[in-house]
Amino acid sequence: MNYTLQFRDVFAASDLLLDGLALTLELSVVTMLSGLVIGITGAAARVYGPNWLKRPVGVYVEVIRNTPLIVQLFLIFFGLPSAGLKFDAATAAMIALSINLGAYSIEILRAGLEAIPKSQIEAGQSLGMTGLQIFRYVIIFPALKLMYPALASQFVLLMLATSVVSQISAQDLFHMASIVQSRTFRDFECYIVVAAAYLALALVFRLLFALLYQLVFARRTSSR
Amino acid sequence: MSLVELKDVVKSYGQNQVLKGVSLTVEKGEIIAIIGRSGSGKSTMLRCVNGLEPIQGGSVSFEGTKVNDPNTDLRKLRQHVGIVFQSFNLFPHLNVEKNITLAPRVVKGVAPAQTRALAESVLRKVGLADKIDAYPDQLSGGQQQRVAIARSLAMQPTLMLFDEITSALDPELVGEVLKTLEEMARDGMTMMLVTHEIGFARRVANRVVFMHHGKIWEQGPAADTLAKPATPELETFLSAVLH
Amino acid sequence: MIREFSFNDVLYLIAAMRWTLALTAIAFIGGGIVGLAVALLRTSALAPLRWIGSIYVHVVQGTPLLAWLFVFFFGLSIFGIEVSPWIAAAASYSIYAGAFLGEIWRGCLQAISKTQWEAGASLGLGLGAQLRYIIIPQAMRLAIPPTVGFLVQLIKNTSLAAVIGFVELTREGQLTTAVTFRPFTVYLTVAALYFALCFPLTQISRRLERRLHVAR
Repeated sequence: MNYTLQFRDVFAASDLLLDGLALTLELSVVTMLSGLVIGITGAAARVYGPNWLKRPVGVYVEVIRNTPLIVQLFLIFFGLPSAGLKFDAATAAMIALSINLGAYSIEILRAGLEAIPKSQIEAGQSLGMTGLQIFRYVIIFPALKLMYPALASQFVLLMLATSVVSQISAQDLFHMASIVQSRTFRDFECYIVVAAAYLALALVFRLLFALLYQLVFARRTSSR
Repeated sequence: MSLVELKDVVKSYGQNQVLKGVSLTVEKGEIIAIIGRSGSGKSTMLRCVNGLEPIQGGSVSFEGTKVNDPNTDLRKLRQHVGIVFQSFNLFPHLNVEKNITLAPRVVKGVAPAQTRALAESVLRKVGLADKIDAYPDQLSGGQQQRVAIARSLAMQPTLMLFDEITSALDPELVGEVLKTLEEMARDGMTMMLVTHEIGFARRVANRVVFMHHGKIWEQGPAADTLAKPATPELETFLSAVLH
Repeated sequence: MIREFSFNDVLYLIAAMRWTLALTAIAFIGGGIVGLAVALLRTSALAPLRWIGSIYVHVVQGTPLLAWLFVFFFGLSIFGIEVSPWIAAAASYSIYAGAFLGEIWRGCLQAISKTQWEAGASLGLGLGAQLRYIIIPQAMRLAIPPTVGFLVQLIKNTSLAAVIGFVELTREGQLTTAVTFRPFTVYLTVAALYFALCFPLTQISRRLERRLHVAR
């Protein structure tokens, strides 16, 4: 038990870690955006769409939500090449993460859409608005506002879950940490630093989400 | 020694002083009706008597024991002071019998063999002997409130507190609850009740306490005080409530 | 040495599910103990205790589970503590599940109205008796659906233990892929097996949730 913690070697490799951080951030932001788009369109299809659309969206949501992310990732990165679809690690990671977050976003936003009172839709209809107009101007804003906290925490969880892409050797923060570890043999210090980095990232994202809420939702009072 | 003694009780929530020096004594066997506008501090005063509200100044004592002394065992004290709330507060996961017998069993250690009989006897007093196996959500508001009264009675309290117990009830259900109270009064129970039912207060209470702006503004024998208010504030209050 | 992916491999994968279930069970028990403590800390009347609970939750929910697994498995060995994948996984998952279960259960405790505590106190019940007879029985009914829901998360997340060499369903999949070189088929099978495990639980959780809403 005569081990002294030494962070010098780990910090000496900070350029590697920063490279990893860049990919982690890129993966997170891109996935959040695509996840939101998939979430909104998917939830709309799931709630208001025709039956032939509702069904497959529901299957997609259930399949993704009931299987592990890492298996989805392996399937896309290792499995799809045998079907002729070959991606580099970062692209495969982005696809897998987007598909994954999309499913969770659909489920969250569906609850938001279903919580909007029918009278709101009727009010829109009686003003002669089209379905798309009602969705865009009447429904989506209060639904997003209502589900914002759930969506934001799902997004933060997704950011943490990006660490899984290290397992297909995408060069994210976690992958870079194992490289630094194998060079410095400072295992404990290395993973402590990385854990702290993720914690800081999680805090930053939560702060940004809170700020975004103030900017987008708080000042405008919605129908709820 | 009076049963209840409040001396210069001060209670505030942050900056907001709700009780500004309230003094009141209650003798055994008395029935005190506490009236006043909402926000006048009447419910708060009642909740001070069994220590539900910590106070910032003055003292509250029950049978000579200081309620606001940190060394006082509030659990012991509360076995002798029953309280019934506006919102019934029955335990929704327990049936009527269990609601009534929980505290006698757990707090007083009454033997399980005797608890059913205890529940039956207090339920008879409130006229609900047939509801012993029902669950709270199967009862009307008036019935739930009578079960809440029975639950308190099962602890055989010396004093009963009633906090606006008919305010949450539909008008047609108020009568059955007041009738139960009247029967308890006839049995000689000491009661303090916060109420909006002025007619009931006149008929049943010995004394009326009118609270205004966190103080006892006026008090006296029920019939006289309500018939001839001494202060313009009580007069205004009564005319607002009665018309 | 490459061989064909056969029905036997499927059987091996199914057999590996028992380690997935065993790890889930350990994580749930360990996490349940931690979670109960977290829930009680978070609802404590004493502010410092609430802070401790809150810091714990924020730290655990702000770091990847993968980092905990690596800290315990690779990290502790440098202190001369040899850690088996079992111990590392049990510790990591208990810490992780404790934070999430603690938050779920805290919400359920707080959903019980303050007047229920008051009614208990007014009858002379002590704090322990109030919790035991009044608050916890009611909170438990609320807690069951989200707890079953979290169990699904837990099952899925046991897959991460594969990266420290814990042989459960996902790791078995990796090993099978290495000898059959049929990643698509193997991982599809693995995914199907997870689905078979998780989907019924998801449905149960949803049904219980609905029943609770109807009852209230």
